Amino acid sequence: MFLKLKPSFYLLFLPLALWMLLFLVLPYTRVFIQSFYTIDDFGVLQPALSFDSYKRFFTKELYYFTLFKTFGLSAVVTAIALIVSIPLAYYIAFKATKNKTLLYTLIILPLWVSYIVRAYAWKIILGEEGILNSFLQFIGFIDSPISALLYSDLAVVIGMVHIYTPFVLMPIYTSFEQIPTSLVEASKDLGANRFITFFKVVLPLSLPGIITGGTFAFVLSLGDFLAPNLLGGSNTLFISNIFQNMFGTSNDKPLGSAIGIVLLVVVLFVLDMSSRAEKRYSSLNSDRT
Amino acid sequence: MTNSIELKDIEKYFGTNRVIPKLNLTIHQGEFITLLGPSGCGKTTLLRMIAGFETPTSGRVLLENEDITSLPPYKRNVNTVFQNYALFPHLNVSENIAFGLKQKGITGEKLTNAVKDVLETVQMGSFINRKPKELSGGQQQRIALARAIVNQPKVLLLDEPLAALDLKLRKQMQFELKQLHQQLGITFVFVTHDQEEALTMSDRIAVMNKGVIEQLDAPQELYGHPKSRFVADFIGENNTLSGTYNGTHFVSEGFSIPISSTVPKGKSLLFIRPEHIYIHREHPENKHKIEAKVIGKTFLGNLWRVRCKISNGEMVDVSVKPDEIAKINDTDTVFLSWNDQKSNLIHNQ
Repeated sequence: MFLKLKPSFYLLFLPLALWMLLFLVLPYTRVFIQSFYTIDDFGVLQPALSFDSYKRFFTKELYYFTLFKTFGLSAVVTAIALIVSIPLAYYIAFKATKNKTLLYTLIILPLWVSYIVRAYAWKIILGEEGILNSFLQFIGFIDSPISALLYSDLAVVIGMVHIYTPFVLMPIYTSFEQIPTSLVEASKDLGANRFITFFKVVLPLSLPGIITGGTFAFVLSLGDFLAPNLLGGSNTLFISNIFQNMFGTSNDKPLGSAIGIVLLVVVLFVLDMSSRAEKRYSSLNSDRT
Repeated sequence: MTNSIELKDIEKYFGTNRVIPKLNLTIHQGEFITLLGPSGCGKTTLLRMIAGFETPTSGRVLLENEDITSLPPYKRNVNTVFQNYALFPHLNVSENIAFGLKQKGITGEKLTNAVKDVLETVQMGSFINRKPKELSGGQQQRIALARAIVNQPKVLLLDEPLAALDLKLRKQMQFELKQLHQQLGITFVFVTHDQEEALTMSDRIAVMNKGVIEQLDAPQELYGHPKSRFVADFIGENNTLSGTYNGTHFVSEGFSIPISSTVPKGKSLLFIRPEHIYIHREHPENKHKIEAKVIGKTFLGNLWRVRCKISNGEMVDVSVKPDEIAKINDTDTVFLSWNDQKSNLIHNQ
C-alpha cells in the first residue's frame, strides 16, 4: 500500500535512514567482509577471500565449545527469568489491585540504573568480602568466606537473571493484561479451579508474551559480554568475550568478525523461530482483527 | 413449587458505595425469570452473586435450599452465558464445549457424544472443528449457550446474551431461547435492559432500580398494573397524570374522574397507556374523560401518535389508527376517554 505523501514528509525519514546506514549497515558489512580477510605474521589485515577464520572457529574446541556453553547458560538464564517472571506478572496483573502501578514500577526501576552499576552491585554482594559472605559469617552459617560465589557460572547466571528479568516480565505482564476477565470467569464458571484455569486458559493465551519475553532474555544473554566479564572472570567465558578479545589483545580481527557473523546468524535464526511461534499461538490478537 | 434460587437479605457494597440494599428474591424451579433495569441498577451484580463472581457483603444465596454464599464459582452447579460470549479463542468449538465436562472427569465416548448432542440442540452440528473467530456473532452465541447447557446446570444464568446481535437475529434467538427453556426445563435467570425482550420471554420479571426490586410480576401483570412510577415509565409507553385521590374521584386542575380504588387518600398518580385512550371530537358518554388540545402528531408506521395537552398542563400521548387520523388536526379541542379497567391509580408519597 502506497500513501500519497508530500516529498517533504520523506525528509523526516532521512535522519533515521542515515543513522541506520552509518551505525548498522556499514559496520555489519565491514564485519562481514573482514571475516574473509587474513592477517599476516605482524597482525596486519590482508584483504582476501578466505574461509580460514570460520574453519578455525569450528575446529578449535575453545571456540565452538564456548558457543555451546553460551547457549546453555543463556538457556538457564532464560528459564529462571521465565520462572520468576510468570508468577510475578500473574500477581501484578490479576491479584494486585491497589499497588499495581507501584509494583510494576518497582520491577522496571532497575532499568533506570546503568547496566554496569547493576553488574557491579552483584560483585559487591557475592565477593569474598562481600555482603553475602559477611552475613553468612555473621549468623555463623560459615566459618570462612566462600570464594566460589563470585567468578563462577552461578554468579554470571544470577547477575544476568537480575538484569534481564524486567525485559521478560514486561511482555508477559502485557499479555496477561490483554486476557479478558470474562475468559477467566468463564473457565471458573465451567468448573475449573484457579490452577486449571491458569494452565488451560491464561497460559495458552499469554504464550505470545512468554515467547517474546523468553526471546529477549535469550538473545540478550547470548550477546552479553559485560556480566561474564565482571562476574565470571576468566572462569566463565561467553562467546562475546572471545569476540571482544579478538579485537583487543589477540588482535585477530578476521576470526573476531567470523565469530560475530556466526552469532548474528544464530540470533537471526532464534528471532525468526520465535516470531513464527508467536504468530502460531496468538489466538487473542488475531481474534480482534 | 420448589425454590431454585433464594436470595436472602442480600446487601452489596463496592467500597463505601451501596449498590444493593437488603434485597430478597425467590426464584422458582424451572421458571424463566428476568432481571430488568437500566444500566447500573444492580441486575448484573445480582447475577454475578448467583454465579459466584461476587460475594454479598451480607445476606445469603441458596441453591435448592443449600447455602452457596461462600462457594467459589467452580463448585457451583450453575452456568453462565456471558455478554460477549467469552469463548476460549485458543480452543475450537468442540474443545470449548467439552471444557466443563472435562472438569467433571467425563472423557472418551461419553464426552464426544455429549458434545455432539448439544451441538445438535443448538443446530451447530457442522461447526464442530471451527475456531470461535471463524464464527459469526449469532453462531458464537449458540456455542456459548451449548457450552453452558452441556453441563446440565441447575440454573442457567444469561447476562445480556443478545445485546450484541442485530435486531432480526435477536428476535430469532429470543424465540429459540424460549424454546430451549421449555425443552430443558431448567431455571433460566436472564439479565437485560431491553423491556421488550423481557416481556416476550419471561415467566416473571423483576424490575430493578438502584439496587431495589421495584416490582416482581408476570409480564402481563407488570404491563397492565405497574406499581410504581418507575415501572410504569420503564415498561412500554405510559401517560402519567398527577393529582389527588379523595376516596371517590381522582382530581386534578380542571377535571375530576370517578375511580373506586383501595389506594389511600392523598397525592396520587394515574397511569394510562396510549393504546388504551380513545380520542373523540364530540363530548362522549364515558365517565372517564378529559378535555384536551391537540399539540402534534407523529407517524409510527402501523399507528399515529397524537400528543395532547390537558387542562392541568400535562401531556398525554394517544395511539390513533391511520384511518382516523385525518379527522384530527393541530390545535383542535378533543375529548380523551378510556376504560376504567385500563387505567391504574397509585399512591404518590
